[in-house]
Amino acid sequence: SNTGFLSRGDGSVRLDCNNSSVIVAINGPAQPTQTKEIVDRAKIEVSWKSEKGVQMNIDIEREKFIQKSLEEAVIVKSYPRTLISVTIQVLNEDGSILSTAINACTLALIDAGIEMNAMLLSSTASLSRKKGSENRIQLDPCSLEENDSENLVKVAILSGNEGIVAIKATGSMSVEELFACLEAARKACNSVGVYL
Amino acid sequence: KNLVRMEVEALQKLDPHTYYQKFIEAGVRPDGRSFNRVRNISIMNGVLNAEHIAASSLVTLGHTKVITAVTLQVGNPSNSTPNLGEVQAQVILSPLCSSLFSIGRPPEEAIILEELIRSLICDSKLISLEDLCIEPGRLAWKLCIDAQCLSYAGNLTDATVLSVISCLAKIKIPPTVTSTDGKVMISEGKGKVLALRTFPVPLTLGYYNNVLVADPSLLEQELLSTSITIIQTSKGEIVQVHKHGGMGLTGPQLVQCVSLSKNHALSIVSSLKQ
Repeated sequence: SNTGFLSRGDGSVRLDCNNSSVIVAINGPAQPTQTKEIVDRAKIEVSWKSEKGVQMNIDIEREKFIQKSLEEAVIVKSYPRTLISVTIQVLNEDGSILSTAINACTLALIDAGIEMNAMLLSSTASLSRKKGSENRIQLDPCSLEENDSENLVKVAILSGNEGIVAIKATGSMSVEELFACLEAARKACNSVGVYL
Repeated sequence: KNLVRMEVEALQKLDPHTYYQKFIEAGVRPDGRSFNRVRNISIMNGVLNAEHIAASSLVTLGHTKVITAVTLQVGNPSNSTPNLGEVQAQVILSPLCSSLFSIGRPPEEAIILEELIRSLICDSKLISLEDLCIEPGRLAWKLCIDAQCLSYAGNLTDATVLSVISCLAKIKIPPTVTSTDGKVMISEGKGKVLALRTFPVPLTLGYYNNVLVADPSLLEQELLSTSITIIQTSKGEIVQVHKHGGMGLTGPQLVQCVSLSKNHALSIVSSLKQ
């Protein structure tokens, strides 16, 4: 990772996780327009810019996922009537891109000096069932592994906290498999926390 | 008596959290429901009879109403997947359903719901896209899912997903004949039923501080610390879990959510069988 390398933003980071690479730039706390102002807390706005430039539905879902998760991590009550803009530019997408982006946001917010309750950490687990062999949970899958697996579980947690802040699980799994993936992803988040 | 009602309404508008807290402390919710109770659901299929509509479904969840129509259009499959059809969903939120929306760019909520529907059908493999193929490499069906909200009173997700799945359960792919110049025409005969792998049922739950409430109403949606949507079949297979941020949930809380969702799925599926 490479922090503070963009000079115009208040905080910035470039994070490479194997081949997935993102740049996150933070601007704020800054003056918002009248409509966006919230009286007692900061408003966090996330903008996801994909590799290809065209914004798809999934990018808008990612924006909301990250925005609501960051609201738990940042001490928004410290910055009333301000706007914190988070811009995520994907340079290369090779699996686990949402998790890479969330971890990069945490680093960028630290670089920007914005007060946080805890670090927001994220990790992705994939579960695939192959005939003739055991079910396998793979952490931090690359693009090939993601496309190959039937289930993907993405998790965001606050460091030092037992609860899971955000989940996106898709596919088809039993309850036990879901909880196994959630647990595996949570442990992976803790290791990411140690690295950060 | 009128004065008391005015005061209550004023409290709800000026300090909704205190208003809601008073109900929660008494063990009930503003609309009289217990914490785990889901509002009355009614599913009406085949409400739209026009020829071009493959299936339609009107779902009412309390006061929230969503009507979904599925149509089939012929198109060209993409080069990377020559023998697969396509699924496209659109969710329409307009001033018709609530004064919160305006005409113009679709609100974020609609887009996220469209993505949920797409992921539910494609990533959780509810239908096999190969069933939509007409002629590999040249022609394939595009399943257009059109969900219009008629009344927005909380928990749009559950109502929309239920109506989409009810539609998908009743689609027949018409038999076709391709003419020499590439035009596709519907031929005689019964269509083939589009196989739906399983019938998953959605349940959205919310937490207000540490109190679990199922099927949030419009008022509750704004006040909840977090909400989670679980789409599960009556056999316990989980196809989607979405929790977009908000307060963190511990393991036992998640277990409780999943088990409530399973009970809900069982009750919906059994009442549909009747």
